[in-house]
Amino acid sequence: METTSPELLRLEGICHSYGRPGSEVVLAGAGLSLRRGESLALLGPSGCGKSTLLMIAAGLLQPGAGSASLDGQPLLSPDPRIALVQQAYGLFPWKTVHANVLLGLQLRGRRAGPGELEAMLSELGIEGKLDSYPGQLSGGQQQRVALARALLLKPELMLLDEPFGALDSLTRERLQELLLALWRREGFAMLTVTHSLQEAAMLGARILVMDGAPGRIIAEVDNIGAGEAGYRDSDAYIATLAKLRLAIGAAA
Amino acid sequence: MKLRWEYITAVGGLLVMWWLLYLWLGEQIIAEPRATFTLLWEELGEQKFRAHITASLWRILAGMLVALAAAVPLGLAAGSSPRLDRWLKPVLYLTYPLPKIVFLPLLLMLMGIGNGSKIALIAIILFFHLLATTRDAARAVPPSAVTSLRSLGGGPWQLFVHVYWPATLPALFTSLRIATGTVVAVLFFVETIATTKGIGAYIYNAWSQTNITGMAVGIIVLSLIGILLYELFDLLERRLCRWTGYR
Repeated sequence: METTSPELLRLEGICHSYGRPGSEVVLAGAGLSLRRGESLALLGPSGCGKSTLLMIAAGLLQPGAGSASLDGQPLLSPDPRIALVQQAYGLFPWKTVHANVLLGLQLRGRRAGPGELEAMLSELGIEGKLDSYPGQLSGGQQQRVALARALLLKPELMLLDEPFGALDSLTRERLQELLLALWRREGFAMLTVTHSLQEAAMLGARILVMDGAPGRIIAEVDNIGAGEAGYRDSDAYIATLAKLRLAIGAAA
Repeated sequence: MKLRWEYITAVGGLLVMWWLLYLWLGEQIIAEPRATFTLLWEELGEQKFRAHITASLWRILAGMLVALAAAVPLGLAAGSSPRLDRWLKPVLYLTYPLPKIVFLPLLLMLMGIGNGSKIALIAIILFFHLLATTRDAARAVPPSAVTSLRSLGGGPWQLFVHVYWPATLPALFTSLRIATGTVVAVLFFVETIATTKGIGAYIYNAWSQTNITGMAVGIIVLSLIGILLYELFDLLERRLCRWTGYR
């Protein structure tokens, strides 16, 4: 694992509540740090504030208190080095796959290199779908399009919000493997928010366990070997699942 | 316009109903269909009649363009900004149910009896339809689409171009189609007052001369204008909103 690589993302003492002061506190002193090329999963029940923490990491939300920084610089707005993949895919139903995939580059005044788009789509298994609309695709295909859009941005940090939560388990496993293969090759850092123990154990070489009301991090589980091919069938994977159950049980 | 069998059958059915009504109520009240179509054909050859049609079409199109230009930006802005919406909402709720047609005398005093006041009334009535629709549709845009665009680096202008405008377009076309009937009705009303040009004026004139056939010709042309607009919006929606078939 890349234990010596420099820090990329740091969230420190994040407190946040939506609406007026005095309203319900979503996050109370949550923090994390992520090194370049590292994979980190944030595991917690629905409503524990993990998606809010991800929005702050994406520069889409300014925390009420605490600080967020990317590469040592304060993170005040969405950064071109960060790509976000949402649970509901975040595709625009009124744009074709082609327009959806290229929009990120277009908005940042960049273009795909020659053959780059075609290679990416064929790797993700959605070649030949360029003229389709998202509504014509299955959930798995839509998530592949969302991944293609994020990957074309060549991000240093990939943020994933329950990325495969809406998919059937076969498609979910296939897409997890695909994402991990891309992660190994492209070398981006990856922060995945999930409520699934299995997904956390597959996608995070380090797993932070969150508890809600108000949201804070209650445990950290090392998951060495995650992301390597065949990890799902290893004893280490089973052991991590047991550790996660223990951590969640201790909080309950 | 798609000339499908269903369409042709519907037109045939309406013609049969007209014919039966004519047989039942007599030519003092219902125009004889064949004589009506003969007169329509003759009138279409007349420059004077075509000027009536042009005047009506111009009033409708100008009113629509003014209403669109005013209502769409305001509706999108209000629907996407809760702060602006807080101020607009009470104004909209107070003014939307008002019968705008009663303001015609005021408009006539303000703008005179020319085209301006007629176009203004059509525009005002349509404006409220379009404003309410665009605002509601913009409010219904899923937050994930907004988050998505912002995370891709899009600013406020790109949000309008890539999210709010395309997302609200289908609702806008629905609103335009629904409003078509109202717009043509208002057109008839404004053209019966202080004007000699327009299909409304033509019908009113025929009526005052108890020219039943002339009235029927005017009614047919006004109906055709309504159908034309309806089909035009349908066509534009199919062209511009191909994605709605796959929602």
